[in-house]
Amino acid sequence: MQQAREFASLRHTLLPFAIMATLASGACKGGPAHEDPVDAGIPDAFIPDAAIAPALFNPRDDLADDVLAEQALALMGYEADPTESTCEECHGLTRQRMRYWRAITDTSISTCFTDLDLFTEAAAKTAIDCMREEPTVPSSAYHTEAVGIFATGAHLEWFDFAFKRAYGDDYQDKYDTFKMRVGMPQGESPPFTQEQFDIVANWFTRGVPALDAELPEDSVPTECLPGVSAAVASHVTEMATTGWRAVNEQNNLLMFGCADAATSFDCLSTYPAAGDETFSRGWNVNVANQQLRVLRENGYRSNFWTRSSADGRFVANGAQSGGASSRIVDLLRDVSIPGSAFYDPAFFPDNSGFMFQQNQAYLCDQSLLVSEPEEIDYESEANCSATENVGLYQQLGRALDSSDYWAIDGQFVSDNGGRQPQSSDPRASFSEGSELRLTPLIHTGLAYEDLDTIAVTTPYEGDAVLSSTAKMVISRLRGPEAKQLGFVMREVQSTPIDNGYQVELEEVARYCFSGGKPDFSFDDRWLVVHHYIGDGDAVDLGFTGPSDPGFEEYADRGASNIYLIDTLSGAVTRITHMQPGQYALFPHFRSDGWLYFMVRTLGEGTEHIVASDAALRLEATP
Amino acid sequence: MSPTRSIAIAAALLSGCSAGDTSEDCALGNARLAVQAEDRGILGAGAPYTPNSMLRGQERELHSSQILRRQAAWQTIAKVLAPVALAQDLPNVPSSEIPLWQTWYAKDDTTRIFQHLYEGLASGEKASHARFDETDIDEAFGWNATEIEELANWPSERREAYLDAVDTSDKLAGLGGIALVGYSPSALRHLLRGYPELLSCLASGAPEAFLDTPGQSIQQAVREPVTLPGCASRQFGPFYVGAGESLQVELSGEGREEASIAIFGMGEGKRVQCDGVAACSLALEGAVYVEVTAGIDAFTGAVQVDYATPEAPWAGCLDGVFSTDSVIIKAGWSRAQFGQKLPVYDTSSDAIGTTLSANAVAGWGAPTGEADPGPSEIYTIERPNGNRYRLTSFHIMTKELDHWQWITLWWSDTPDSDFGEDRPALIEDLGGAWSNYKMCTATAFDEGDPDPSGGYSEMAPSLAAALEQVHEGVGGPSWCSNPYLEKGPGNMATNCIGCHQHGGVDVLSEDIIGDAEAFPHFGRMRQRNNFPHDYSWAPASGDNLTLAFKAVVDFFE
Repeated sequence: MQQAREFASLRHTLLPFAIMATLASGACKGGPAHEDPVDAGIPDAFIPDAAIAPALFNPRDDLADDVLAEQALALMGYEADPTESTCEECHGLTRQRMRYWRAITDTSISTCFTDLDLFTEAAAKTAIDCMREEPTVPSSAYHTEAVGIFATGAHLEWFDFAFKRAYGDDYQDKYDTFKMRVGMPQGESPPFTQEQFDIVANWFTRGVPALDAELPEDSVPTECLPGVSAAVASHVTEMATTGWRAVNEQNNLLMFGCADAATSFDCLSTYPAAGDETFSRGWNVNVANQQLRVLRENGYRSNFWTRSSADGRFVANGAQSGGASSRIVDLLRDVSIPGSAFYDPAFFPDNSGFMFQQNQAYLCDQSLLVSEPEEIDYESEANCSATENVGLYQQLGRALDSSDYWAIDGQFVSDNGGRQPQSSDPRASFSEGSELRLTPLIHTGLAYEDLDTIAVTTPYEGDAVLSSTAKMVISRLRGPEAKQLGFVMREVQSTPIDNGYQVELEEVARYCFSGGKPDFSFDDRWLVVHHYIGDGDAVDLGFTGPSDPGFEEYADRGASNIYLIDTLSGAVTRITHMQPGQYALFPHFRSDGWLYFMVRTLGEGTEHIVASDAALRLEATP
Repeated sequence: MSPTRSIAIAAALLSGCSAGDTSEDCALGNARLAVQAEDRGILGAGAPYTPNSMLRGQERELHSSQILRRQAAWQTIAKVLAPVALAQDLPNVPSSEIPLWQTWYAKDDTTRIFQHLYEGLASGEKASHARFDETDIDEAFGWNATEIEELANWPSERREAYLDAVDTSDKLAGLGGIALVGYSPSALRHLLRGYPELLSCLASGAPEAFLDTPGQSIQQAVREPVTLPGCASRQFGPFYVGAGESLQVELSGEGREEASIAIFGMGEGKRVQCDGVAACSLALEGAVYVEVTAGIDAFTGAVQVDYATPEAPWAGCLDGVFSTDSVIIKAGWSRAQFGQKLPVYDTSSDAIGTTLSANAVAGWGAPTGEADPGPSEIYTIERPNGNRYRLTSFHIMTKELDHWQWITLWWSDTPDSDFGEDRPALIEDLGGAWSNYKMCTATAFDEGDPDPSGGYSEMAPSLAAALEQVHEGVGGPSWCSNPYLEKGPGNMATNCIGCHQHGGVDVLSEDIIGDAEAFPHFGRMRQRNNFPHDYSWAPASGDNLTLAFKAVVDFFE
């Protein structure tokens, strides 16, 4: 019920007084729109006649989450008599699909159903046009996705009222077209009554609570249904002022390369731009005014992933050459510090420390790097401590305004591309029993102690990554033949209890894009990921197809590009166009929104550290 | 729940702690739970500590009397714990006061303030690592206290909600954060002013243990803002001036050309009169007073009083020694959630005697039990996110003595026995849980009190018995160790001052305690005639302020 209340609260935010006024009125019983005089508080200028809108749906706060879930699923056809026509006739009632419908419903609430009162003709037309494929083109077709689960109520009174308010007495044809196009269920199935629709609508607007209890686990996914719930927007809004980006900015974190910068766009301006030299020609694409800066050519080959300090000064990775098993580049001094660690560096979001894997994880104070060490022996270094409790491929996030950290681990697939030609993303061979394991590391006052690990089953998902705030987690989703279908993002709801934390993971978004292990921006506004070029990318790269002669070199030598995923919209933007044999890999954010990635080139012993302000450019674009 | 293993998230060696804190707990602390801008806006600028400027005149008596030593320590504790008003009134708690030390600065504040100051230097000043002006530091302290008002992510509505959310005494206490190390305003001021020397020593190393080079060591006694109407006077002091020392007074600000300075002893003794333009100095052992008189026009500025001693530079990696109103604290916290219990340590005579005689090298060893004290029994705070902590232990080092006054408090489930038996009423009067802490203190490397019981046999017999266990004879090493903070081998047999003399030297605390040949008596005896960081570990380990400063300096170079 708590979840339901949160969604109710959210809904009230998204649907300003309109829905509240409607629900509070006598029209809240699903009956016909009555002709009572309108509330005196509503300006007359907005009221063309005395009619007010009926309720889109009526609240069912009397039903507990599990009861609501059971009734809603039954109405949609779960475990129904096979002879009956139901939603399931056309759509498999899977957990994924329910979450997808929830996500598009959230989107529709925040876009098309912001004004349920429809006091004016214009308001009604705006709402109706919003449900078209192209809202700015009044002649474009109606689009079911834009309507969300409310499509199952297209025949009910609110929609009838909306069309009548928009088009007057001649509305019927238009309304019929709408119902025919988006109304659900299609075919011979009987539509919901208002009472039935109320149950279904309430369940979705509450955020499909008790879904996992009512529906069995899905089988191996064969499709990816993209969707972003309203919870993401709410979270991102909150993080804009309280996330690590805001906190670090508040703490005046000195961002590397920004000493003389008036704005973030002016950072790193002393470094050569991509395209200044032949090897980097053509890299910069798709984002207006994007700056790609080549920060350094490393004289060694890195091993597995690369991560950087929150201030962007230090860039760390394992090393395959150069006489050390790992290195941390100090961009300020333009040196690389050899170290005894092996791979998998991670930096804390508050710029306080970092972690590196050797035979176990070593956690070090970041001041060690400022002290300009000639090399780092992690076993003997006084500013580092070992722990066996953070395993390989684990990640740490730090709760905001808190002393506590979270470690996450689970099934993973190694990714060390750019050494051999590679034309596909890492496999996603995650099992049905795959678990996402969260371990709270609580600050006891002087030290950290791990509490019991909380395991959550996430079938067919792996390579989980925690956001810097420890409030979001994203994982790669397996599809047929262990190929990746997309990413699943969940909100981490952790609550202190007597003997530890209670954790709930709620799926809030699904991004249908394939790539390596992603990284969150410090405000959770963006995800960045690399994707290995395959035949399916040929057209996007400007070729006629995979058989285009120009694509042949890509097919032979492979390459990978960097992509940004907008967590709010799910929009994917490719921000590089690497040359054949060039692998842009392991992108990750620094605190201010710039992102770094490595470029490995087949057959070469050197690599480049490259920076991009693409996310900053995109978020500044209206 | 199985809180089974400790993890080092930030392997910061602690500043301000007994250098011998070699345990994992000590090594794992961090200072990143400190006061943020939103908290500082409520706390206001750090409140000053009012020193007993005459205490240094009693150094010999303190050395030879455990009673005087403890009495002085309790008085210091009372001042450090005394409630002071917040900068903002909180609408939902009955009192808007917080203990003095909780208004002080931690690493977060320090970094913010240093960065603000350094950014304000001209490029040439940055290149030469110019020292910050006192007035610029004043401004920076003020800016830090009100920075919240400039932050875009803290609009007034959010700030008001933050204030409103403070609705319990625990949450009020939580505004002070749980930074491990805190610096009084004067202590921080000195560290900020000393950044050129700190950076220099980082590059070239600390001075040798013994220096023959004569020089003049300057210690600031006080720096106080003053506004005097025309012809008005104000007296400062007394200040205790030691043999061979002189007291120097200098004015800064408007109207100093017309102002005058008088320095004089008690009665009809020696007196010197100077104009306000230049520094004024008087060499006179004993209690000395200063009087500043404005000219016809008002004087608005600051009066700075310094001690000058002809000897080897005392603190070669700082701008002289800390001022007498400098205090550095270290607070040991323990989480009060998730079923976490407090370990309990027995510091009775029997327990200490058994542990010390049987296995001093092993340290305090395992606790004798567990406790789950509530907020009325132990000082408890709650951070805005709901995290709750108990204050288990508390170090205080004040510069009222040349070699500092060393005090440590620890919580006890039997607070009125042994090291708590002589707790005076002025601590009881503070209320709350402060009467549940025991205390030990040291003012010198060696013990000067010939009475093993410290003179407490009759007035506090359990304290007397406990002191007897740690008394190693006149001339032997002194003792003061906190079971919650002095963890690890040998750390039970330490005295704070011994390890801290090496502050700024490239030596690990575990080596000081563990290398009996190089550092006898667990490092408790004096081994230097100069103290690069004036006994503070903060610049070179733990908070490692020098590297925090260096990161900023590097950024702008």
